[in-house]
Amino acid sequence: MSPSAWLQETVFWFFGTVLVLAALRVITAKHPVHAALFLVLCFFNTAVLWILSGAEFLGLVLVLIYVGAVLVLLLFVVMMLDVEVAKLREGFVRYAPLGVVIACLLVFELAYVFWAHALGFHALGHLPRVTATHNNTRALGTTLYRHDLYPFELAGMILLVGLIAAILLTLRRRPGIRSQNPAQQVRVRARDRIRLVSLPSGRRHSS
Amino acid sequence: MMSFSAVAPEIWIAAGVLAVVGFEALRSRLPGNFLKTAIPATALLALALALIEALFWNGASQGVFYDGSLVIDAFSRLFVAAACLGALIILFYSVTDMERHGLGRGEYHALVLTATLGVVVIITAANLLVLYLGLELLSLSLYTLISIDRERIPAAEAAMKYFFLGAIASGVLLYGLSLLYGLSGTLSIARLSVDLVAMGPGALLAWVAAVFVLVALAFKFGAAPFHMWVPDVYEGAPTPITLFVATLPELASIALFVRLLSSGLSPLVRDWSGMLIGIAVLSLLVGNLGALLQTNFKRLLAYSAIGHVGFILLGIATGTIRGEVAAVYYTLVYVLMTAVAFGLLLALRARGREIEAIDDLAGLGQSQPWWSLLMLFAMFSLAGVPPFVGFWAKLAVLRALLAAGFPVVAVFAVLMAVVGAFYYLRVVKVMYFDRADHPLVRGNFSLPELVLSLNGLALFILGLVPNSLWGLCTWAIRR
Repeated sequence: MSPSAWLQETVFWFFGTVLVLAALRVITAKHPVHAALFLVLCFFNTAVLWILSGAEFLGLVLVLIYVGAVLVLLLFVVMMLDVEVAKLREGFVRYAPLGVVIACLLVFELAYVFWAHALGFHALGHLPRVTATHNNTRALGTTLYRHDLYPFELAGMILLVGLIAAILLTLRRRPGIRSQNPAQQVRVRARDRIRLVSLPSGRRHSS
Repeated sequence: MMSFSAVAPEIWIAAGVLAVVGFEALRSRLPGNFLKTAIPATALLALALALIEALFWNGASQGVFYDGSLVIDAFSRLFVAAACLGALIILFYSVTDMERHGLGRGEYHALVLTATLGVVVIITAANLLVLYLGLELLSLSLYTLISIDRERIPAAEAAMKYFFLGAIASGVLLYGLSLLYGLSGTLSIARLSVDLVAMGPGALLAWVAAVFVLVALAFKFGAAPFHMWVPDVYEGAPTPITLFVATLPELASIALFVRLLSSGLSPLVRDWSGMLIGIAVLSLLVGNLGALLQTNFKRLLAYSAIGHVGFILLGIATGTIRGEVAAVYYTLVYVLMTAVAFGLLLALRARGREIEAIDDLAGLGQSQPWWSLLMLFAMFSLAGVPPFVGFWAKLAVLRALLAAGFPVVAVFAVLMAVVGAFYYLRVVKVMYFDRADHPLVRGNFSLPELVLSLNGLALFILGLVPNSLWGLCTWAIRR
């Protein structure tokens, strides 16, 4: 085994093992925040595996989008909703059979894919062989920004419409709302807030 | 092929959207009076520039651009110009009204522009993906425009109905398109028809795909039995928005039919022609009989729209070039007539006459003689009374039907047109013969009202020279 192949194997097994362990912890962790954090770990490891198999752009995007955006959002939701953990854990026995069935189906499907491939069925089509000089990122860029430039720009316009529509339909400018204006708060002077009134210091009234 | 001149109208409209959004974002820093003129002026200018660019396309600039995304041909040239002109006129009619009701902010102008952009994209689409994106751009803008007056419950109801049904229709269309893609392996509409021919007749999956596509297109056009949203949207939306919804999307719908059905799915014409005849006949029936029962003027126009869509679809259903030209001609004429009818409602609103029920029109002949005359033009034209342009549109469809060998359907269409004439004439009767105590109102014309008057007179003048517009449509459809 050449050193580079050995390195690849080592990296694969290390990150693969961590991935499986983290995935197990996602479903066994008691606290939902911990589960979400283990999911982050899962995504990182998956990203490494993807990069290892030549899909460097997908790996980076996985980290950027899933870790950077989706899971942060999920964490916010979990923290804000204050989920009752005990309630979520109820009914494990009731749902377990369904889970087992789905798991078996998944395993069977995966096994079938590999098995069919090994037997020489090419219904799936040939995956293109990736050469060392092939650049995923460049290929994606060429597709998005050259071949599909026009639809890509149109999709951007659709997102803009979504933005405008969301603001138009939900933003309510209610009069009389007290909101802070930091600039004014900083600029305030003592004389704006405090009025010194000279009161005659009188003797105490005797009652 | 990359070319900026091929997408120049799109670029100008998109630039207009961004400028309007930019103005709106700086609202707190800019003087209110400046924004009040700058935002509508920007929107109008963007549309005018797009129109000019579309008019400057010539034979040399025709072709397929951006890796088969969009096509500039005679149809694109005529319809992009028509869409930009239509949007320009509609915005012109409705700006003051929206302003007066406190809805004329930047969002309104931005959404009108994006909807127009969607229409332009659909018209020039050469590829299924672009077609779908254009349709979504148009639909999303329309959903929002309908609910722009969000405090009004009927508007919200109409928007919700349109949104849910429209989302389902979009899904159905997408499913049909994905089947077509799976069958042919290409997104290009031109190659799609070639591949379908190679597949030979009687391919079941192609037929299923055609059904999906047809149902979705019928929904977007508001044809029976997928017409349920039309009356609610027409009634619920604010009148300036109804003016927009009733006119510009019709151009997009006919473009969808011409691009997708008459070009892309032309090898399946035997499959869809019969279905389309059924949809058209049902639309004629539902539209014209439904309109008889209406007391609300906007609902009346909604049912009349369904009836007119029936006529337009009859032209497409013949599957002949002549029928297609007739359908395109009918659509342009219909947009012209509807713009007058709703534009008049806005002009009357500006003069203190809110028209909701048909009875609100009573005595208009005495108090507003000029606007009544134009309304009479619009109604006669919609009914298909001979000197007006609406007559020639109906005649063109009927002749195409007879030439293609559908005499029974043609007779049925004529019968339904006669039924339709009743309720249009009833509007005229209420205007001129029902008494109401409204004093004669004189007022100065504003510029939009001058354009509206010209638009109304065009119904009469184009009726005297029907061949001019017909010639343009023949030129646009020739292959």
